[in-house]
Amino acid sequence: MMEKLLSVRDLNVAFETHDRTVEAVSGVSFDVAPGEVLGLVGESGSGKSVTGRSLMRLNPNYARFSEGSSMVINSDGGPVDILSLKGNQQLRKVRGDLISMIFQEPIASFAPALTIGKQMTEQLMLHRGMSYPEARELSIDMLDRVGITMPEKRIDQYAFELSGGMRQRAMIATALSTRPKLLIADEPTTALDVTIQAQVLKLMKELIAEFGMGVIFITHDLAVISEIADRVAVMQKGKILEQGTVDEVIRAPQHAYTKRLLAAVPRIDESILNAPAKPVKTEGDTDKPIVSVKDLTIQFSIGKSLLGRHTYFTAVDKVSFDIPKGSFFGLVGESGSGKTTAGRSMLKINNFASGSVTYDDGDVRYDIGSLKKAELKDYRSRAQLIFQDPYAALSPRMTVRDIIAEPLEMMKLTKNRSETNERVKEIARLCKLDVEHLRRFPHAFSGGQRQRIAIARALVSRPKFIIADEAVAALDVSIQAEILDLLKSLQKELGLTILFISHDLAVVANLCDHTVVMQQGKVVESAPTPELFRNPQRDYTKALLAAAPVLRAG
Amino acid sequence: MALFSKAPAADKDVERDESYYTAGQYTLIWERFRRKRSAVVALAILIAFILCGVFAPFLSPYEPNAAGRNADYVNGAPQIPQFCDAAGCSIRPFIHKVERYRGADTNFRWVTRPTEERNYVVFFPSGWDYKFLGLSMDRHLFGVEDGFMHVFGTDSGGKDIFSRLLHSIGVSLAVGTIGVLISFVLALVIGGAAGYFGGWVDTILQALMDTVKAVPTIPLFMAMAAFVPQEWSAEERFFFISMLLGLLGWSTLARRIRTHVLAERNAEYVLAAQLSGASAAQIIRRHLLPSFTSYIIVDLVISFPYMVLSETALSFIGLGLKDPVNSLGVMLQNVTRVDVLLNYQWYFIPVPFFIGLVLAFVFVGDGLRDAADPYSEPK
Repeated sequence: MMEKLLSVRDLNVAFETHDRTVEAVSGVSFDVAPGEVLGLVGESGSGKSVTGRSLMRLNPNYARFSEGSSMVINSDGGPVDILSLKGNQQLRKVRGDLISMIFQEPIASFAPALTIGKQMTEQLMLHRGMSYPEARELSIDMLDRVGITMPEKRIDQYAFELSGGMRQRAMIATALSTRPKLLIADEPTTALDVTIQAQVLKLMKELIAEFGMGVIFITHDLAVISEIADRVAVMQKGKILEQGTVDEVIRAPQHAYTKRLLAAVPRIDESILNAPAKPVKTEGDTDKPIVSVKDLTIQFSIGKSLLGRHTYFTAVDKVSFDIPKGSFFGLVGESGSGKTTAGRSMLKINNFASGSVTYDDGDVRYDIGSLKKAELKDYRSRAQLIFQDPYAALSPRMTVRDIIAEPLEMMKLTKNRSETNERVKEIARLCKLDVEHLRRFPHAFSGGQRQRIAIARALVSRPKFIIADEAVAALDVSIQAEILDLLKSLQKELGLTILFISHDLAVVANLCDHTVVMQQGKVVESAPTPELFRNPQRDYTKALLAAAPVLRAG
Repeated sequence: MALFSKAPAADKDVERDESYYTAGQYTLIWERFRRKRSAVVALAILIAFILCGVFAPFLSPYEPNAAGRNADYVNGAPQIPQFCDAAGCSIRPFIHKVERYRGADTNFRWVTRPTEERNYVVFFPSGWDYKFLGLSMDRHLFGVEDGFMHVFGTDSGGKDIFSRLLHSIGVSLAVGTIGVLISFVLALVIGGAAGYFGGWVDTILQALMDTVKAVPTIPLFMAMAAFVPQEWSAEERFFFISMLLGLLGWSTLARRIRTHVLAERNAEYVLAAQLSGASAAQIIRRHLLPSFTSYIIVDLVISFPYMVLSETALSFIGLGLKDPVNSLGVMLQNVTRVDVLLNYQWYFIPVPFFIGLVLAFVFVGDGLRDAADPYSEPK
């Protein structure tokens, strides 16, 4: 092995707040060699980002490093003890000179009011003492190197003028232009669509090979790690549980937590691909679809000309599909594909320009486009939505009981309070919520528990049709698996039809009977899930499948 | 009990956890407010001020108007109760009596001078009648055996500055309360409508807010001063001032409420409520209002000192309450005369009280603002 680039020993970081001290990182030790990619994996709160930020001393001022912590990085001028650096002048060594960082949200990492070029040249002038023309030339070079077309033009643009993938490329160019020895990448591809993510990962691999720097790649996504990293360290609750080469850790995990984590990652494996197309359950006499979408078109006004003529953006363009009763129906697409808009219009959250959505559960038949007020109220008890972000979707000032009981009380579905309470308790048990917790407020719960509460609220009115809009996207992978299991069992038990909207192909492959792929407002492909994944017909679907990071299963 | 010494401790822990989990927003706000020492001290002072205002008739030994004047002790210096003098010490505090005197040594002018005679302080004497909660009472906290005692001195009319100050605090707080209430109602309706409906309603109402905000206050007050008839009674002036302050003060509050409504109404939990079949009124009442009441309380507390300040400023320039009425503004207006500065410095005693009142409000508001959103707390 080559000489070590970075050596972290016994790193302890604690956050002191007014009433307690929280150990964010405890006893973390690892090394990074030049040209090596160390993956730092963990779920939220595992301390992986704190570790990364500590290397650049970017911690908030209430963070304390305990005695015995040591972080040493080797530079051309000898080893630098990161913890002994004081003042901006010295800290600049680890903030840009030797270490650079790329972040999750490229739009938030660029100053919005300065051009990309201004921000790139500034640090070159500061760190490498270049003159402005030199710095500009090098910046254009770097932008070209990371695959940005027309770099001479892009350099004078602002961050918001670039697309998400472009921004992240520009961020990488900025981070690498000072020729750091170590690059810290904190969830650099999490906010990107899969196809863009694949491109950015490929680019990063090339650049690492070319520049030969060490990389710490922080992510929650084991599949991404398995594609890019040489070695992996698994973190939980501030500690490193195990570290080793990717093959060792992913193929033969030693620690129970790693095993659980790996088991929770949804995979597209043989059993899914070879499964026969599930015959959709038919209940009684009906084989009619519960929701039928025909030529659905949704437009948003994006402006008005002087003459009062509106210009429209077409979010959903002549989309048609039928959702069979009792099925788990997947709707997949990248951001901007119109999948959420289409889903929401089925609940009449937004109006549509043309086309029709018909709901027919055997008891009633509604034409969603022309629902009357009373019908809408009834429809709302039959069709419900589960949100992506369980933090935003629960009213913070209401107790869990009140939140779950709300549909019953608002729609007057129960006769009295004790019946309401019974219904609430019943659904809470179904959603595996502790009945004792019903008196609590949402702030006392973690993300997974909150999502259970949100699911309980959606189900309490005994709906037939549920739209789950990215219902697990905001959750950690192990919790994601729990929630998916819950959805599966609820679907069976209650005979629900679930429209599952997601960007995550692996999740959809594991969950759904039938999958529809959308791109830019149009349906690209629609097929039973095994067939779609085994034998995609359209180029876009193929590209999506190829781009999805796959856990190298050894 | 010793056998089980461990178990209760564990129980207590669980209990505390449960109380945290089931804590509503006001419990959490209070918990966070309590941690800020300056705010708690300010709150105690503020409560003391409010009590002073409410119980002013009981606390003040004399009537704060012409009826309670001490004609023999005009522009009199503060009389501090003492325990000792040349004749020895006493357990009961006393002051020296004063007498009116004129002689060759004073160039035959009347002067007031202290005598050697002691005048002992008494507690709960009966004095002037007042009404409290509908009851007619005449007991006061303290007084002297014979005649008058002026702990903060007297003014040019012989009125007791201490009594006037206590009543002023009450009056100023009342003006502030009415002003804040008027502006609060206006702000809630106008700001709430602007935020909830948006669109052209928002545009028009915002223009209205800007118009009110753009009116320069000092010239307006001057104009009003010319407009207010001299023969208006104290009560009429009082309500006029309160209304004026309320009608001018709502725009800032309205804008804040508009912002809160605007920010909250697009939140996903509001959409969830709509999907649960809640009507607009139910959403506002059950979801929107509770989510920002804490902010409104903060805004109210913060806008309070501005009301008191405005009342003071108005009275100071002569538009507001006039001398027979007691308000902090009137008290401060009396300080402006040159001979006060030179000879009767005790006129300044209300000034630190006024500053203390405003600061107490500011610090309480500050503490509340920090505590306002209990759910933003990092875990």
